[in-house]
Amino acid sequence: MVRDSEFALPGKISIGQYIPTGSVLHRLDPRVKLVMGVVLILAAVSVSSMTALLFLFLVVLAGLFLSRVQVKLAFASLRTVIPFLLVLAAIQVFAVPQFREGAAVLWRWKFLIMTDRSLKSGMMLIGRFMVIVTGLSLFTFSTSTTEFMHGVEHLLRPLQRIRFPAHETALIVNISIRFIPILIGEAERIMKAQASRGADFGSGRINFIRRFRRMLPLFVPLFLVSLRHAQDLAEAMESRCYMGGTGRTQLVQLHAVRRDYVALCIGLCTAAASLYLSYIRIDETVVSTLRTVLL
Amino acid sequence: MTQGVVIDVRDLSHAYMPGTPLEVQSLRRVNFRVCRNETVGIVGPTGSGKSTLLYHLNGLLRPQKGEVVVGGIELSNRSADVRRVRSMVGLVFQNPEDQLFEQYAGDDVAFGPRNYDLSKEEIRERVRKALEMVGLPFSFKDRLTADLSLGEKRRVALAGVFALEPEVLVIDEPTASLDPGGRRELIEVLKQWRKVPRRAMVIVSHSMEDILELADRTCVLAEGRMVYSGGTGDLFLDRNLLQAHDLVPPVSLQVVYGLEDRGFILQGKFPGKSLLTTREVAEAVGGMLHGQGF
Repeated sequence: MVRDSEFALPGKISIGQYIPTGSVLHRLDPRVKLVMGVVLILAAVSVSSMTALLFLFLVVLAGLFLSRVQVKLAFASLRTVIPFLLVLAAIQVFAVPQFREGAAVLWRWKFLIMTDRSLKSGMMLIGRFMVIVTGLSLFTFSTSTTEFMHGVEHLLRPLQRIRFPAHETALIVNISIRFIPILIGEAERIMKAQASRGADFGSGRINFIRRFRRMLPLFVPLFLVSLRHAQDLAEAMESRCYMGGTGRTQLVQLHAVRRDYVALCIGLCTAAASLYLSYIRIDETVVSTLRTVLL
Repeated sequence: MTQGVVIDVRDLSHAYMPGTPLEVQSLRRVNFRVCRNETVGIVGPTGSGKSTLLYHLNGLLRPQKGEVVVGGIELSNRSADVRRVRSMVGLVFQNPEDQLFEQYAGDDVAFGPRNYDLSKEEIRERVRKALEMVGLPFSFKDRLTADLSLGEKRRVALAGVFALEPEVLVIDEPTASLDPGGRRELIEVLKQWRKVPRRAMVIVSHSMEDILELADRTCVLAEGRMVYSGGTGDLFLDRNLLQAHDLVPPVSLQVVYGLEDRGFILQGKFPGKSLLTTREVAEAVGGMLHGQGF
């Protein structure tokens, strides 16, 4: 992609963007997709082997093919988080002391020590995030915010018995999501206006503090604009007699059909299989080969 | 004439989010030129690519295809001095008053000059001149931006761009949401600004009255294509052209065309006489009525 502007904020395109293709995944009940998403995240954080993570990643990739969304879009969202991941993984691998106890040192330079345990945890960290980020973008590619909101509301509904405000919670979540692209758009607009008056956002050479100071003039108008958006929204809702969840009926009624149950089963089975796979460990073979190579 | 060209856009195409399913072709092989001492108007419906074109004029967007040359600086060259281009072409956004961020009006006007590392005295002098140009006293610098009226805020925002002392002013919807008095004042400010020789102005507006009053030449954008470029008068006096581009002429010409439809042809009766502004039309209609014995 041609980089034609220093202001096109990265990640805007792929993360959180709904891409309607009408695939099976798009037609699934949003409740099922929500449950599957939560199960996937839980599975990704609780498994303890690379094999299991690889398996989960393959399942997500299969979902991506099913959704008929271009795979490169999912990788675009991965690309935006990879720098952060690498930094986190580097800290994990070289600088966390608790991985040093009773572990074999593979490499050392001054205070940086890489052990077999730290290397493994670093690899696991990257793997986990790759599964989670790709899974989440698959979810947003195939679920519109309205569907998402209906799903959240329906899932939270049982909690209403203990007076939990299910509808309001769903609404708050929905509005926050809706505001992200608006705020990014406003930020871009303000940055453009300030850049055209000579402010320098682009070049990376200026140091961090100066860079932060240049961002300050951005926050004031952004804050004002978002407050105004919020007020407009509140007034618009009030003028249409919005009263909250009590006594409110819904146009969209969610009905799970057979494919939803099938999907749910597949999701749960995947999670179970990944936990089972945790016991089969290829990562230890990887580490032991590395050990023999390096030592 | 060619040596007076300050902005030269050749075969410019631009797509938003290229290579994704959400790709939108915003500009298609647009040619556009601005010379010194002239004001060019750009009209066209929402989404026709006007703002995208404006962003290219001071390097906020770089050309994907085609060329943009501003004051001799080739912007498709990645290492071009964009900051110099931005000090040469002052861009005033839609609703610029949304973007005031300093507590005091004077600090906001000084934002641009401060970015260009000028001396304190020089900044002070530029703020004074800029405020004066928009018809505000120097003492206005100590006013709280939050307490200003909409018209005042817009003028402060405009002063913020004037303070850069640009040679070309590019302004998007300058009179939108102003009351008639505010609009009048703003147009006078713009006319005053361009009196200085060698300056040029590009104005985007949905108000044909603004275009008629300010623009020497007008370009029509439709779906990313430049479908007309020529004298503002020639555009408004050609009914077929207006119809073809879905443009509603200024009120003065709506009267002329309304009379035409009822059999009163004004244009032919006053050959060689301009028939554009409300005043000119009123004189012509008055003359005709006198001739009929009113």
